[in-house]
Amino acid sequence: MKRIVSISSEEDDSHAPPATIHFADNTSLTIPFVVYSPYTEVPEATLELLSDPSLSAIKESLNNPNPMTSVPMGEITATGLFQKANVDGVYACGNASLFMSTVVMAMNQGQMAGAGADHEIAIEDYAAGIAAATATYRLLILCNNFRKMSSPEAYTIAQVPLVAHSFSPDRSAIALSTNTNEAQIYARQGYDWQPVSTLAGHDKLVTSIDWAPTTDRIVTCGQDRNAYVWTKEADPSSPSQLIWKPTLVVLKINRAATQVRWSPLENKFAVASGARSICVCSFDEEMNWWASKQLKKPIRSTVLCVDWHPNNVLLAAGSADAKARVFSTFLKEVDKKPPANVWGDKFPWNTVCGEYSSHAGGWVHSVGFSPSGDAMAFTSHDSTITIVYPSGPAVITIKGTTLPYVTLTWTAEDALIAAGHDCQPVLFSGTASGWKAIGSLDDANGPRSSSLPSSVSSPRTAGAVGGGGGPPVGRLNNAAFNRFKDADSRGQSSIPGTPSSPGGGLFGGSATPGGVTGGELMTLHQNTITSIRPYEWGPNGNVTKVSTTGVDGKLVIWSVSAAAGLAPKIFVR
Amino acid sequence: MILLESHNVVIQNTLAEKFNKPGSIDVVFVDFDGVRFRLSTPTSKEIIVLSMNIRCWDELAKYGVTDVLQREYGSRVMPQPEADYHVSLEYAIDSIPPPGEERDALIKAASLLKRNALAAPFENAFATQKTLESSETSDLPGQLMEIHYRDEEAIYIQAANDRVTVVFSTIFKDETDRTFGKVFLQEFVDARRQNTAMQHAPQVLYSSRDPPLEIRNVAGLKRSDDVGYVTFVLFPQHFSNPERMQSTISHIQLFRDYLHYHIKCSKAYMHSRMRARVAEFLKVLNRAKMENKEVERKTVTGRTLVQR
Amino acid sequence: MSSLRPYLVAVRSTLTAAMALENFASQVVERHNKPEVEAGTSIEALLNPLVISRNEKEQVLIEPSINSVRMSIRIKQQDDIERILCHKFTRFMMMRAENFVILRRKPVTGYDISFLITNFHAETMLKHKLVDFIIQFMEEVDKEISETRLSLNARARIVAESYLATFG
Repeated sequence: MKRIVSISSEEDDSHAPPATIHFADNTSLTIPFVVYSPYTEVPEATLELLSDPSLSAIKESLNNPNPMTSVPMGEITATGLFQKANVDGVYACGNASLFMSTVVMAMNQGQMAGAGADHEIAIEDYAAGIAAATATYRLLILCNNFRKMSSPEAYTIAQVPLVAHSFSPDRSAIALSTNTNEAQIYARQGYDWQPVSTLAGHDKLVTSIDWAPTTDRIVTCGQDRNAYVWTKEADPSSPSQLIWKPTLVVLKINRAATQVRWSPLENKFAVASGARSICVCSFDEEMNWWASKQLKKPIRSTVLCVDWHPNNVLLAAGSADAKARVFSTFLKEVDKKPPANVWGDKFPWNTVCGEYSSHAGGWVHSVGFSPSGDAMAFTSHDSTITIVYPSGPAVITIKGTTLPYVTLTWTAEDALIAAGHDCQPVLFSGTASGWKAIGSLDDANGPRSSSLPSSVSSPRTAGAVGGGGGPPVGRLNNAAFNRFKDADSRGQSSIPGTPSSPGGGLFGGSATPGGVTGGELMTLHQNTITSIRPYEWGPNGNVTKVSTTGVDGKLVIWSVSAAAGLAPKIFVR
Repeated sequence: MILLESHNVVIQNTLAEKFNKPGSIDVVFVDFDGVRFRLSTPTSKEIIVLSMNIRCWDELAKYGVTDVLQREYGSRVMPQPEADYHVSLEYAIDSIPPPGEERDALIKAASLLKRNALAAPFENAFATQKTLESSETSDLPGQLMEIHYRDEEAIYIQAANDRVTVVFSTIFKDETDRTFGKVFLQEFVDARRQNTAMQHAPQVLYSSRDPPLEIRNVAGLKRSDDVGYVTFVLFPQHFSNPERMQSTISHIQLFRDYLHYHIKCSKAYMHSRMRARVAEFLKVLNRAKMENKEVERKTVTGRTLVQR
Repeated sequence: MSSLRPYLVAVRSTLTAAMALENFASQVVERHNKPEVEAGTSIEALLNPLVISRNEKEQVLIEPSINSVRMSIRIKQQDDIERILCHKFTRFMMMRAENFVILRRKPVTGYDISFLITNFHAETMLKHKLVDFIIQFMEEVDKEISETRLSLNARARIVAESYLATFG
């Protein structure tokens, strides 16, 4: 076996140009193409096959493509760094190799179990580690250009608004509300999401969904005043199949339900409703049903959002009466008395630990506790984000010049991402002394993963390192800037909605979200983002990826560091 | 076609046809201002009778219509008009000249029956003016002639020693007509001033609601917002020579119909403009609807991914 | 003329902000979902109405709420004929309200034409394009009325002159 040190290829017009593999003993081998797939499978070829000058075995396997054949385990026999066109990568290959590509898609999937925000990677260790972790052989592609790895993955799921979403614990499936009375479960198949089940039960719009990661249960709520808890069970008609069985929860509200969330321990869930109350539901073993108890005082209008404190008792809620409040949902049958914390000492049922409103008032669209629970953030219709530190005490307000945010998620104790009518997620960071906006996760000028790549990048040479070959990340979507760029690069003088002053405000100061060209918004999402959820965590517990769904029917998975403006490096040996 | 034509096309076409190929006929048809005609062959195929019913016949009779018609149609005027009609003309086929200019002139004259009838009061007024002019004795105007040629609308003619004044009272049925009418009439009034080529045109005055001086004392005048009065002042140059006079008479009597015809045309034009504009707006609005884009995915080697 | 651009810019940015709409089930009647700006029963769901005036004759009233926004326009009408043209034009459009989904069948009192945009419209149509449409509408309506009026005057002149020329 020979150890591969690098692979280089010349760009040509074909999609799979010839490549030269360089081995550690200074020999090299040219093969007519290199293609690769991140997913399992394919026919076998070994390094010896690769060295067979006639390449007949490889050609044969190419003529007989069957991407879904699984490959038996193999031990890692060689590792190396290769480069192909504008992709730099690492591959590990054992007694298999792979073919059948969809290169760009593959890359943007960034099948990077656990790559997270780590930028420096020891290749052999990494490859060996990953290979050991995965039972079936997979080809891994690590992009040298971190931008590509951190490019958002965008999927157009439907032509209708996606009102709510929640991923399965392993992220292979997602439960969605497609603006109808039914919730749909889509599973990842290839580079796409295909519907696999329908959760039918509500008879009005499904407004919110939450998938409990540990107990693997789904709770949905809708404008029909009901909530259902769904559990996976064997299908009586075909026992090998699993289906979702609903259990109706009698909420006892007489208006629509707007949002539902499982508590951290997943033994309770909270439902916000238009009946000016919040239903806290817990499972009553004796009666074998979910019992609901309502928090009413002092709520004076529809509750729009809820979020749980890590102690499983405190709940933050935002309402159309322009207030964000922190309640105690202590149920003696279920909860142990929580210890005192920054929010208070004693927490009997319906204690209001705090009531806050934003600067100019305005409906509170979303609330969230920080990972530790010591801070609480909420977004209001007056385009502000307010962060409350009860221990300070400090109440920090970030005033925006943009359209209101309707959803938020914390990514670290000092960072959160909010999204809404501006159609792009924005990262904010700060502490009790102050907060500010860092940048948008949506680089409107970057390549879109949903479209085929243009062969624009320059050829790389072996050993080239470093990201940032494309436009710098985290560029703020400044309408005026984009307009000049358009005139320059596309020769179009697109006239955005408002002539915006280049220096005005963080986001160009214009009321139009991002920039607008020829009818399409320059942001990935073409319409309001309805929901943002954490998708992936890094080794230090911070959220590294978030997912968003929008009124435009798109699901996008964003890399958090894209906004941080850090250009990662890959270590080459 | 901007100007209205004085002759009745049905009479013209039918007579031409029938003179060529005699046959029996009985048609009743109408013209502007509620005038009814009948072309028939009551006694024999060889004799065509043209009858007209005109509302204001009795008034016209006062102002000499019989003489005028006698002059124009001679012996063809039947002594007794057909029942329900005010005047009848008789055309015996054998008295018709052969095809040619003469016959055409005859047919033309027949089709101008209404025009000729209405010419009477005007001719009368012009004659009166001449008399007054030459008399030099009094400044008093001649008699005020009233012709109620339409329901609720009338023409008033009065001669003076240096002019003949014709007043039209007209009703605008709805507000749009009234407003449009105002715009049009304002142009009539202003034309003389604005366009030097129009110096010779009659003077036009317009008032809504209040009748002009000349007819203020007339009984039974309707006073309301939907009434308008248009006054034409004709000077001797407009009826000095016979040709000019005939032309003036032909045109002046059609004034009301001309005005209302053009008001209607403008309304129709405006309507079609609006419709086009609204269709444009709808197109712009449709741009706001989201398109369904089908995204096709291809492999690097050019094969298309198929959905399973 | 000089006040037209700032007027439209102000209307555009106000309208864009007002279109931050979301689905909101009625708090008053169960299982109902109505535009709050029309129902008016939940005051907290309404935002302060705004009037943007170019002058006393030309104004725009924007009434936002949590799930709908109503925008009414008072169109410039300088005289009788423009008043009639404006009235006919708006009536023409309002009769076609079904096609113009966002048009209200009756204008709000004191205004010539009203639009009602709900969160459902914002789901099926691109919001920035809706705003584009309304701004374009405002510009075009003024243009249309003055063009029609001018053409009417031109027609009238021709009609008058053609007639009077016959007396010459």
